[in-house]
Amino acid sequence: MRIYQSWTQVLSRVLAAGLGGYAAAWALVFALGVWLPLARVSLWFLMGQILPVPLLLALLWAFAASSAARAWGWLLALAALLAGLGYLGKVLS
Amino acid sequence: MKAPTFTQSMSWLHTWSGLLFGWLLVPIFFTGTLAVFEPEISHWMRPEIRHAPAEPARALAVAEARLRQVGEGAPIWRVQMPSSRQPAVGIVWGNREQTREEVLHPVSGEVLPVRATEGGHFFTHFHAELDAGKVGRAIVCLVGLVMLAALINGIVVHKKIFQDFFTFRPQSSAQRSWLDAHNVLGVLGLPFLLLITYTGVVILVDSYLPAATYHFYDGKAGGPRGDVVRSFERRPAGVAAPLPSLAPLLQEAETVLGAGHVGWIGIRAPGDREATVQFMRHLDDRLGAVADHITFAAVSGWELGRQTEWNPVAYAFRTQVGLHLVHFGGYPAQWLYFLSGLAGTAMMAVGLVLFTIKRRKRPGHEFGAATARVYGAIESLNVATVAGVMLASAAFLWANRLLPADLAERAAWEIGAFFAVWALTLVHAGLRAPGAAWRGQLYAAGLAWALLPLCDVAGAPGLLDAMRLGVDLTALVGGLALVYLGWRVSRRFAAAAAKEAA
Amino acid sequence: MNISWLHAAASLGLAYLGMLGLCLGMARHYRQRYHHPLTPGRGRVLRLAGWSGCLLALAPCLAGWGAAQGVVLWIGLLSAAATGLVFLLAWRPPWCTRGGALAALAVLAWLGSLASGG
Repeated sequence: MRIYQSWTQVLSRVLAAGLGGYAAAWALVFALGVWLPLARVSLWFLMGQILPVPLLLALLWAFAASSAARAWGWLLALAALLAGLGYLGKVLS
Repeated sequence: MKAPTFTQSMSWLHTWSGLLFGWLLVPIFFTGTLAVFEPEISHWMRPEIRHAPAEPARALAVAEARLRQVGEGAPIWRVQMPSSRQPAVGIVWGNREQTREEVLHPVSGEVLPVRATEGGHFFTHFHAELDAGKVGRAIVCLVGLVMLAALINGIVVHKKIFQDFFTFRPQSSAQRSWLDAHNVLGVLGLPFLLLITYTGVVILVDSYLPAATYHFYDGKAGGPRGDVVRSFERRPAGVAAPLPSLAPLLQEAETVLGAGHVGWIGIRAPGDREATVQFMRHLDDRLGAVADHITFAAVSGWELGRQTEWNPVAYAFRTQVGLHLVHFGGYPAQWLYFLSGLAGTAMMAVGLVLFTIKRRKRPGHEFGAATARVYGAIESLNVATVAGVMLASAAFLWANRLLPADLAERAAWEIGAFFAVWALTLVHAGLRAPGAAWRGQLYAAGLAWALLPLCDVAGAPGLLDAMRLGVDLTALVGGLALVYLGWRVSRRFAAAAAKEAA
Repeated sequence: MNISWLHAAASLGLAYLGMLGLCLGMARHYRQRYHHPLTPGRGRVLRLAGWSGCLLALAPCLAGWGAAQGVVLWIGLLSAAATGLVFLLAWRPPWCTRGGALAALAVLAWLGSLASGG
């Protein structure tokens, strides 16, 4: 079954899922850590429980997106947005 | 080429991630299933230990007597109390760098001459990190994430979850009946599969993506635990003071932790004026894998502190851990996990088989000129990761009985047997045609498991206790099932060959 | 024999009866077992009984393990019961209702042990 144009498309999506998803999830931890009013120990144990969800969604998105470029674009934009929110919170506090 | 629809992309992902990761998922799932009975397998692998009714006070007394003999000067002593699943007393002594351990009879206190073995822990260890340390943990976490995705896109692809809830048509075509089996095991097992995979990823996610440790604890891995578990240890004074008997402290600890509920005891700086004794509760009657504990000053007998209440977020996290480890619920829960694990393994194995069955009928030409060769390699890998890993696991147990008890590096040889046999199954699968490879390895694995009771009785004479007997009977039943499966599979291949010839 | 096995057996029995009701409440499976069509009224009764059995299966789990562990076991036993039923129905359709009788026995044994204060 061939549904993606070429193997480079497939590789690009795999990398988007892995690297893009990884970056977005990392940025999510950073942003939540800055904005959530919780002790660091509660933050750590909370992140451990919810982290599989963003990683999973990123993985599904990377293959469901209509093109590899969109898969990358949204994941990187999300990662940048979350990282930005995190830095904003850091600066404000 | 138009952009794929959602269902198409999910179906594509299910097929290819299921195939590539299935080769790791099946071994991980199968060894994880065996790991449910880690204590029982460990007990089987150390037949020098007999099941004896143990009583906590007596068990502690024999441990204490032995530690006073051999542990003189060691700053750390530990006692593992006997339980219904772990009938001997374990003692450990040493310092932070090096420890030694012994196994004692819980009543007589005799030091049991147990053979060196990794025991059932090997399966747990392989399951969690593929015998490859931190990198292995990250890989298993990634495999778990892909598995979660495969469960979700499996639902998307299957669609008719409720109409086909009870549908299994073994009398139809090979592809139809295997697909039904894959679907029905996946759908009916879905609660378990989601739970076990999600909680497994939760356990490992920090080794895959250590963002939380990096941001909140400057990368210090032990930090979170240190913030949750209170410690009542004291700095040794360097002033000698004889260690009084531990029996009264056990009694007091049991009033807090519950009679018969002490699992571990840790003694720090025994013989020092500031020595402490910590009693930890076992985990086998609650979901949350957290051990309540209480610590006493050894010399004065005063309580230094206790912890029976926990940070709720950490407790929730440890509940997910507990849900994965299934120390709770007793044998009904553990059998349920074991059978669900086998069903999950079967579901994935059938998924791998489906990939090749579909293409045997209608080749997909996905790999251009090399397609036939790639399909052959895929078949071989399927055989070795399904039947091969089952044979290798049995070989691990056989090695336990066949290797001489005093062999140097004995525990490593047992593990070597697992990997050597697994490698051989891969070679075998590569050399034989698919039908012969499946038949040969299913028969071999089936016989290896079914004959395990014989190997047990011949290799370790003496009375079988209930736990050893349980392992033997389970192996026998599982082995016979594999032999039957091998017979069915070989008939299917023969029928297909006859049809082709006609 | 540990009492918890009796709780587990009773819950598995109720779960099995429940799944059997839900299964036979579907026209295609009713025909698979009885070789004649399912009437709408009987279908409703079977499905209602089915849902009740699945719900009631929670009771022995709660009695044996309390709320937290009990719910986990309940869901697991529902899965196990349904899986067993599917394979019986596929290979030996008549046995799936005989299995129901066995399941009912397990439930009765459990009720008996409750009545005798066990």
